[in-house]
Amino acid sequence: MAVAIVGVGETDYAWKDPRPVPALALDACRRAIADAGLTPAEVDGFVTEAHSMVTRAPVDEIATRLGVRDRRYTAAIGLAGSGTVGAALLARQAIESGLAEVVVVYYAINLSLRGAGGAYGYHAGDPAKVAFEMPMGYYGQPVYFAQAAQRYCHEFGATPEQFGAVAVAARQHAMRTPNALRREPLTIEQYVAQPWLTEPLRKLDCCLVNDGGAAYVFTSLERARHLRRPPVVVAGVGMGCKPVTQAQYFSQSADLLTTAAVASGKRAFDDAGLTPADVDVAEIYDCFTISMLLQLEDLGFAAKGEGAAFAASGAIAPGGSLPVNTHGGLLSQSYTVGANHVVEAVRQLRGERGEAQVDGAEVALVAGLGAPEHATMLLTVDR
Amino acid sequence: MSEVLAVPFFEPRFEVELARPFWEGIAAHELRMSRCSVCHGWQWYPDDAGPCCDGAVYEWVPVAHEGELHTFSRVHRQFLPGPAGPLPFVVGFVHLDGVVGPRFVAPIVDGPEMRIGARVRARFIEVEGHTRPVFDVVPS
Repeated sequence: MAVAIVGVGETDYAWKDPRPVPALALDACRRAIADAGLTPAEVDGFVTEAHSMVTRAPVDEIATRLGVRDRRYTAAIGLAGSGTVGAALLARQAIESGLAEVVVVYYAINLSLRGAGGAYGYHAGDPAKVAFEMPMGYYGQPVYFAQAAQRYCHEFGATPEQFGAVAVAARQHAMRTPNALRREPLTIEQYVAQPWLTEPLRKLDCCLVNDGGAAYVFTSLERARHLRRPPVVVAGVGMGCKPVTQAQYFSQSADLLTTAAVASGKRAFDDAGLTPADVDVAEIYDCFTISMLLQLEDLGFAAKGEGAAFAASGAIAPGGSLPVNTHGGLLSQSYTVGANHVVEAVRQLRGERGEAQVDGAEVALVAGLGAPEHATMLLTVDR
Repeated sequence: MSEVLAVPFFEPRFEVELARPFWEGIAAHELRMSRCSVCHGWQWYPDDAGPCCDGAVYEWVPVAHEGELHTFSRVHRQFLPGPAGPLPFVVGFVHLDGVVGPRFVAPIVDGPEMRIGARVRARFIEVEGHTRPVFDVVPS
């Protein structure tokens, strides 16, 4: 039995949204269910990301406030982007096996309300970081990713202009996206002129810090064909994980320049019977420019070390051979932890994206990173 | 001799008591890392799950004070909570001689010879009553 995504929804993305995380999640779920032309009473399953959502926006709260009558399947999977994307693995399995008929996946985040430590505070709760790393000055996600970026430059000779190409392409896509938070024009010259944040990264290499939520609805393809939106078929899903803990991931991974996308990508492509050459549009977890470059390589779009040149060739920009993050991504649309990437892939395959539409897009890839974990999903039009 | 720490000051806390031997080593001007008492494989970082082998404990062993700089970043903004420290500063990953696998995360004293692959050597400085390791680039 094939499974499809039949509804997507996003809150209005904002720098500061006064609503707490569950309220954002609820808003996104309502919009996604309405988009599908369903009612909450028809929802009987939920899958969420397994780390933040389980504690910050528990399913019992969300389902009850939505008005779900008979919740018979509840599951959680993955960390951050590996959860928002990997949720499709369990949603599909639940529907295929008859454990649920309509499954909702949501993710929401409110960084402006988080208080002390802000976006960095998450890692101050990690005992290993507190004991071994913070006293050494090693702290803050930009600092973690800068270490990999510096190594990448050393091994492959990547240039600031090549990193800048990722940021500029994201902005160009965001300029075509009404709900993106950063829509002012950006040039390579402006990128290069920006001062260092943590070398070799600038602020423009880092994701936005904002508030919002997104949700999507799965059901069987058979049922999807009778709903109001064109079905978007879940053609393949795969997950992978490097053999390290979250605490070890950034400093102790044997290879700082490879992600678990190597494993998850292969599994998703095998599952779908597709190859990277079949992909028309890709939405790849871009918490930092370097993370996107590594995944482009690990997913098979460029050879290891050649992702930067691939990005700088214009391939990932609007009109390129592989438009990537056609909504502006985490860099320029919103930091919705990859849930916005799933939403965007669905809208592309429905042909709803106006001036950001990739002509004739039939196959979309979504990639979600969560420290050691990674998930890849392939979506297709109903064909 | 008093010297300013090359990075913003953050006092280690011990949410895991496991980390105490590490800082006791630093106070004694010794770098230590933890390994499994049964198979002697490095366990870096130690955590409450315990070492890889059944029945094993963490054993803390002195490691070399010299090694090779695997990567680094010159940090221009303070991300650490607490009082402002000197900016920019350099933090990097060191592959200590004889320690295959784990990396020692440490402040590196900035200078013209800073580069990936550089030889670096630890020394210990006193800051606000605490002993801290910093690494100097060994001139080539």
